[in-house]
Amino acid sequence: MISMIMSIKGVRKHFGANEVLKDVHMDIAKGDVIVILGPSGSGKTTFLRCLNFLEQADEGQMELDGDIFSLRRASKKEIAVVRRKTAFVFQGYNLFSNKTALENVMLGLVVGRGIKEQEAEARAKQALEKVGMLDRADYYPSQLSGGQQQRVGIARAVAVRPDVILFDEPTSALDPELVGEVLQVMRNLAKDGTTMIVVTHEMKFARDVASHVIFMADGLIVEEGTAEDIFTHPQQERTRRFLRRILGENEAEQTMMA
Amino acid sequence: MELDYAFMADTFIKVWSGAGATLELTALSLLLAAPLAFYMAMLRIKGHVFGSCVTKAYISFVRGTPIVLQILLLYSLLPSFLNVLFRAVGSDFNVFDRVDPFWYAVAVFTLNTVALLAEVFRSALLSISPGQLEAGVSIGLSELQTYRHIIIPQAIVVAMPSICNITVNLIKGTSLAFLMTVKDITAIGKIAASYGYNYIEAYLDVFFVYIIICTVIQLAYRFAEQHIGAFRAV
Repeated sequence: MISMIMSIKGVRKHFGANEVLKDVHMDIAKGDVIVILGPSGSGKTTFLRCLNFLEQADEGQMELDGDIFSLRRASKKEIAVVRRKTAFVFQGYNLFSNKTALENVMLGLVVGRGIKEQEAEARAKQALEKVGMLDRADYYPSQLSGGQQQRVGIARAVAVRPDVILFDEPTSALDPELVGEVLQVMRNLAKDGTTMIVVTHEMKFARDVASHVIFMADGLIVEEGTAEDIFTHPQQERTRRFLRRILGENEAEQTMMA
Repeated sequence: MELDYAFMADTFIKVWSGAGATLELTALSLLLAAPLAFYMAMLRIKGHVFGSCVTKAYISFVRGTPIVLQILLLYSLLPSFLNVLFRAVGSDFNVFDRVDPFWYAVAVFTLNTVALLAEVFRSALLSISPGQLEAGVSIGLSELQTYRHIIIPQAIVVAMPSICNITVNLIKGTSLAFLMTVKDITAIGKIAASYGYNYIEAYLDVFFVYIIICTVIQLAYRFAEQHIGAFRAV
């Protein structure tokens, strides 16, 4: 059996009368790239946010690196432990506007983890190099394009060397011509063996990079499997309909027939 | 009408000696008010029910009453109240002789500034996107650390023009401290004028001194805003 780095069970969450997550589970092994697909409103983003306690789940349990945490009532200390071992990349980048790219990446190291300034700078530069942003290290977010900002956002997540990086629709806010550069950075991370959970609408990325694809709808996991399983032999009508709509009639037929 | 220029020049120098009191009063009120105002703003942002109610009531009290009235009220109440307090604990400290009225002025203007700053801080803090707080905690900072390094530095830049406004209004407002016998710029001007009834000359002097001080303050704020807000789009 492969040992799981993160194992999530029974996540439920509701907003008012709206049940957003109904018993979602997930196992992540080291080096996995899990891609979560699904129509908007299916609870993908909420699920991801629950894993980093940006949202408090009504129920649910997370096993991370041998420790068990309640997603409903973790103590502040436990939350801090989980956040230390995970990192989040946001749809809207959420860079710190008053900090340069380098400072954005360093802050989690120096303030969050008490790493010495010099070492933190070296690590931050390494992370910026990885996303191809080292030459913009001294730029403020307001001086960077969306794609560049998101690459710094990824560097910020990479630099803290988390067990798992959570990506919440990292390319959805970008102009089409800037999507490629961000996806390329993510492909490289995957190649380096970074463990990631990615919520996205980028089908090609999902098909090429995902080690495991999860299709969610209405707060439930409808279907999961390898990229091949989901894209070529979808079992559920719900999945087929979604793929047809996203990929367009022709392309979807082609891949499903293939 | 003839202006007594010699008197005017003389008084102009003299009036400046009140600038110290005016500026001290302003600076002390701002510095003492800031932490409390920040605390109040946070209570409201965090949705603390009791704290929000008290804060809102306090702010509308300050906004809804003339400052002259606040001065008169506090100046008649506070010394007697302190006196009773000292008697009660068995001290024979003479409040009426030993406390400089300057401190009553500091109290009034601080209480006033707290209410104004609380509102400014609140709207400035709310103007910073909540995503940055999430980003901060997601990379392992505590909420407090995120506020310190990210949210507050940005909020201060947003609040700068309003804080400048409050400061300038405070400088002008402290002229009412003469009601509490504080010798600020206005009080010194009035006293100088009263010897020979040269009111117009003295008032003109006072007028210019305020203009000079307020202009310098505004320039300083603008410079500071540009300096600490350098990260914003150019």
